[in-house]
Amino acid sequence: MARFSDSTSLAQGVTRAVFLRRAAAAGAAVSLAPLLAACGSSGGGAGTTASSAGVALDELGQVEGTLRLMTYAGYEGGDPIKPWLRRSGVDLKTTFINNQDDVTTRLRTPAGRRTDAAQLGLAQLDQYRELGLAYPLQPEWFSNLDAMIPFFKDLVADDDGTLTTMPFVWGGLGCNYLPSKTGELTSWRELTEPRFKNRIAMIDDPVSTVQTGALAVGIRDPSRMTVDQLAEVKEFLLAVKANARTVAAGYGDIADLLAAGDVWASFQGWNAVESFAGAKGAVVKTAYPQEGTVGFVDSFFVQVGAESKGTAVAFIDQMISKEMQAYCGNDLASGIVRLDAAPLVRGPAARAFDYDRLDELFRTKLVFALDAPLRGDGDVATHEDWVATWEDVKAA
Amino acid sequence: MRARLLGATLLAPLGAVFALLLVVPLGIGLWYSFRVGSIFGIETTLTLDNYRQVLERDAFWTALRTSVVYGAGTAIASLLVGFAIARYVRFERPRLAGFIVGAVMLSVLGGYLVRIYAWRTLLSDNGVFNSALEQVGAIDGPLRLLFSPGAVILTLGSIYAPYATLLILAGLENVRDDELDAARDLGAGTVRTYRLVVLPLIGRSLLLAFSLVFLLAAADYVIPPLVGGPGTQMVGALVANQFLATGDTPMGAAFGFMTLLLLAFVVTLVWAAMRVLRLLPREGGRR
Repeated sequence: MARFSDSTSLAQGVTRAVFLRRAAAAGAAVSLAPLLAACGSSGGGAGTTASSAGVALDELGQVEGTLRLMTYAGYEGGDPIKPWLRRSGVDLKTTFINNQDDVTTRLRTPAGRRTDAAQLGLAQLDQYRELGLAYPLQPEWFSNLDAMIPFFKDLVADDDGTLTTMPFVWGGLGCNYLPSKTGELTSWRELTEPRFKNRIAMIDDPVSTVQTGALAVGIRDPSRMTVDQLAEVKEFLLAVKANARTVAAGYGDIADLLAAGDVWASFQGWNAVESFAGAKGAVVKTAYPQEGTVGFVDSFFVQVGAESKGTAVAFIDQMISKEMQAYCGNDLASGIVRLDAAPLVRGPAARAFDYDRLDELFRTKLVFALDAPLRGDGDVATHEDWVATWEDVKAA
Repeated sequence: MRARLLGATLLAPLGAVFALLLVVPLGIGLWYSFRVGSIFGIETTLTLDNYRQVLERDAFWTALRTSVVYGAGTAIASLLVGFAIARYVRFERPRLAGFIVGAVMLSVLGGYLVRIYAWRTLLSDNGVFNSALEQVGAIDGPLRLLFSPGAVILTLGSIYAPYATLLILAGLENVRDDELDAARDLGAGTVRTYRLVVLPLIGRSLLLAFSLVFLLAAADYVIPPLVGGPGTQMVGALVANQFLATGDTPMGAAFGFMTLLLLAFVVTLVWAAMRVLRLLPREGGRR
């Protein structure tokens, strides 16, 4: 999911580096696609599940030295993490990503396999479990885990009590809109109405777009939808696309389009877009339509072959500390995973979520949906089917 | 013989680099394209099924058509602009050649992202063009300039036209004044002189400029979604998706090779058309 766009400003579009990389990839992909393939590993797909049973924290290694992290810009902790890095003697080397696919792809390369910890979106949780990429986390390794809202802990807990990954921020991919142009929005289906002709921006993200389309047509568990249901979703997405003016590259782009008045609403959006567009003087709201809104949870996992597992665990523990959670709420405009940090979140970010009524939000509005399975399972649509569907919608 | 040997020796390092960085990876990729992809891996089974799937995908043909249309549109627009600038420099203001070439080179060095967003600022509903037109009372409401095919070709052209300009200028530098004088002495007007003398003499430059801009523009999948409408799915995005979103390297390689083949076919058609129109010098002619 291409949510973050710049290492200095979340409100800007995709970074220059991302553009250059994409441009290079565009040329290379067409003329030198095999080169990319050749540079990657030809190793097999599904990995084996590692075990951390009985491993004590001090057996993971000293907290020191270089920590190789792969994540979105901003998720590395910005300035607030620096005092901890200094105290711990940790040299943080971050590889910035544009979406989750970057992590999956780079972990196949020799350089990527040196990564200690990396970003994992909840949608891909089962896929990473299947691929065996994450080192199981023992709850007792984390001093800050007790303060975490149990809902998030439960989302990533495995049957043996370990955690595949550690959530630290969350949010909702609702519908961003200009209330002055559209009035209140209550249903995704409103975006197919004629009044929205050429006034919708879609986001170029196959997984969350298909998930949102599934919710809009009444499928409560998108990850288990059948091929026939996926066809129904495709029809709905085509109807939305008929009103679309563009398919945006990222949420920073959506904020720009709304702020400029080029579009009136997005399918789908992100609560942080309100802040981004607000910084440009536009009043943008986020609707959580009655059919449901895709919720996301971003987390850090420890790479199964990490050299600095102890340092990675300590860093992740720090990211769920009270002070770093305040940073996540304020600077990343994200939902946070511990309630005692909520009073430290101020300004527009504090209005994004009512932390006193999270249960209601999670029960009635947000659906924390998973991606489709990687392998075929009866008539259940696969991840590849989802990507192909989105490609078809875009090409239509 | 000695000159040939010297030439071959001097070219050997370049040939080695070319083989190492292009031929070998292409060969490996071609080999992968006949293998079966597993989840983020490659199996040993050989198959032609990847190519069959590529050819059966409607999205591939739609995206390819979009890429060819935008690529060709950008290439033609770039040739027209490039030829106009190069002709002006070569025949009207040769003393300004250094300055204009420098300006063209400067635009190449400009930021890719900056230029895209500059065009978005200019073309948006509340952008500079629409605001100016509204202020002078030429329009009542904003024109749909952004997110249109014209915006795509304009933006792609602004980025790739400098390459065409430099290539055409290099071609025109080889057109001798006495050849133009001879044409005029034989009674040819301006149009006939250009049609029968100038264009054939710079045919190779035109073909090279077209091919370069066409391939770069057709392969670009960053610009079209940013300034084009929702129907600007380029074939490069499909190729990238196979590698990144589905992790199917063999399928990505098959998509890549089919694209390479079909875009090369388009360039071959242009070459053949130029041959038929006698815009390319015959073998043995002056190069």
